[in-house]
Amino acid sequence: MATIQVHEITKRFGHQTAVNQVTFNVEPGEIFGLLGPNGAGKTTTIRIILDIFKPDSGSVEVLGGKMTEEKKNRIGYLPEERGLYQDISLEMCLNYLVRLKGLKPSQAAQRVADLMKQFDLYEHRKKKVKELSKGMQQKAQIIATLAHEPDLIIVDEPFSGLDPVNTQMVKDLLREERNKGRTIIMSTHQMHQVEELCDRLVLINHGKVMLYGKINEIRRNFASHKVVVHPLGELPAYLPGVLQVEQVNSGYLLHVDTGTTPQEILKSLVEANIPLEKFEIAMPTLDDIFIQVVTAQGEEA
Amino acid sequence: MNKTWIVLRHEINTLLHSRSFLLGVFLFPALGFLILLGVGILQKNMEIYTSPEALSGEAQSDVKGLVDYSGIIREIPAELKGRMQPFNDEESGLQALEAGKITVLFVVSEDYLKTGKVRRISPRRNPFSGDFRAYPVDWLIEYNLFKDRPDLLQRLVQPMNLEEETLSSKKSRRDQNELQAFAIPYGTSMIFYLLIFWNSSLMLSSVNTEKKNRVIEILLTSITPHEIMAGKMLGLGIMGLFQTLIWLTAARLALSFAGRSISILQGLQIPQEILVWGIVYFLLGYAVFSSMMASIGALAPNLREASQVTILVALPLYIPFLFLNVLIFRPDSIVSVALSLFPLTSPVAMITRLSATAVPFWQLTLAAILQVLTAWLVIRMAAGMFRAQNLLSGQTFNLKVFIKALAGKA
Repeated sequence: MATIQVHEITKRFGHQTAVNQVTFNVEPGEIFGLLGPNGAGKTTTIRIILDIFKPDSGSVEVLGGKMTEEKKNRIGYLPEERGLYQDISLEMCLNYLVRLKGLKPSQAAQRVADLMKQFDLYEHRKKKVKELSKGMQQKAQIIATLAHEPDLIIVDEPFSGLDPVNTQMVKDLLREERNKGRTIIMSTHQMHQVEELCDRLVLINHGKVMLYGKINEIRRNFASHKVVVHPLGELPAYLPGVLQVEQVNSGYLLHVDTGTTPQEILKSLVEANIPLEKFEIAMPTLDDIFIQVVTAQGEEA
Repeated sequence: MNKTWIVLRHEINTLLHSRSFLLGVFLFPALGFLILLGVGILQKNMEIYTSPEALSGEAQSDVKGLVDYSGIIREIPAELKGRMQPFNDEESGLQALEAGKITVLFVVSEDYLKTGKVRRISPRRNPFSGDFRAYPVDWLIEYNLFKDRPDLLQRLVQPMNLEEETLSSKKSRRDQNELQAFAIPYGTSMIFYLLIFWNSSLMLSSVNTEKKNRVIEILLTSITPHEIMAGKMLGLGIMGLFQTLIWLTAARLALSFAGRSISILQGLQIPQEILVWGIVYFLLGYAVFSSMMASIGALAPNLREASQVTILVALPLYIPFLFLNVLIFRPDSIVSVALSLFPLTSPVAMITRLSATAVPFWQLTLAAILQVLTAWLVIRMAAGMFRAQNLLSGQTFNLKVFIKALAGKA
């Protein structure tokens, strides 16, 4: 059973439709990418999943049914707009936010202390939040998201404001949480992070689902009729089914006829006794796909 | 309920760690003490230095002249000997005045008993000289007229000790010195106005802090808006009550302390009745106004935009000050009763009346019941506005938006 089932949700604010008939599932134990340009409707979708907003139509099931107050304790949320109480101590702030997730005072204090040590914040626990650097506050926010060991984690731009060391630490942490069987929804603009971490994704634009599925399948679907070849020697002047040969870096990009498969190209090269270092279907990056989809929809609109 | 309790404790904790709140709680009474101390010292000094003689320079010789054509003043008592110089006629008196032997000359006319005419002649007009004062001639005349009846003389000097009772209560009133009668009700209403307004404003400030710090969204994934509002109202209410008790206790102490040094405050005290009803009205007033502030906080993106509506919402609290004279000196008039029963003006108006007179028990109870009903209604409306969409919205805020939200259309 899916951890989250979003079924045809629509949400309007005045005359503006923020989310339009959006449907997708998030499976248990996966890292799911929620993508889209600014204003696409990602945050509204997350807020509907979290029951902050009610949809005008459609339905959402979270952790096996409708959202309840008890279920909120099993969810950790890192919103895009980071926020902590600035005028109180870090320790007091985190203990309060974690206690609101249903932990007893001693339990909350222990978890917060452990995570502060892990994130090198323990020495700063008595400082007011406003006295901490942006990176420290970012880490503190991640502590508030994870300290109650939630079953479902929703993180919006989790790497913004982090240096490479801390970015790696958060990535490891997310993988660790996935390995523990937790479900993670990650919303980000950093496509390489999605490629690296996510199993599946949904791309929303203008409130509508544009892409949805496994990352590899999506890339394959967007793969054009091109293959990348790195031969040890020169390529023959003629290869059947190849329309154009383009030199890229240390190899060649072959533009293939729509009636020819990559396997036929490979067969031709083997038959011509061309030793190969590399042969692969030229797969588009998620960045390329993102731009292609968003631009195409923009032109249609 | 558990999470409401966590919010409540957090609000209390935050305020206890807030320097500005602690300053407000303790600095205000401390300032009050300092002012009373200063006034007390000043008053003692004024008694020494501000006698008309001192201000006018008459103290140089401190001898006054007297010409009595009426024949009433036959004896100058021992305590005025050396300070009062009788003359047989006006001419010799004027010569002494010109020579500076006396500072002022009183001439009592022959037909004084019929006309009451006394002339006071001084070398020049001095605004500080107390030109209109007849002392000690007035006292000399009374003394000579009634010296054989000392009890009558005493009554004449200290005319009456007025005690007033109303049908609604047999309780006696304090002395009718107007300044004295005004001081306590005015002070009490001011304290109540400040307490209710300040503590209700804490609610607005608390919601706004969460918006400014962008924690609202995180809170909403853990707790319902209604739990947030309830926790805040209770937590801030408890701290408001704590502040009320500190201020009222300080006011009581200040009065007993000031009574020793400031004459107009002598014998004054805050009755137990005001303390008890004060707490009831504070809590009810706080419930009404803090709910309104909560809804403003939910709708307004920042304090600056909230302030224009805050002033209007808090206006009813200020209205009793416009009718303060009526509330204090005609506390049983229709205007006073109406203001103290109308739920929005009631918290301040009723406390003002209560400190000026004895208010019938039924009026006190009716006002409390009306406030409870209003509080229930306002809390319901505020809870309707205190919802996620408003809390997370960054829309421009003005009175129109507030009224639309009140009507449930925002």
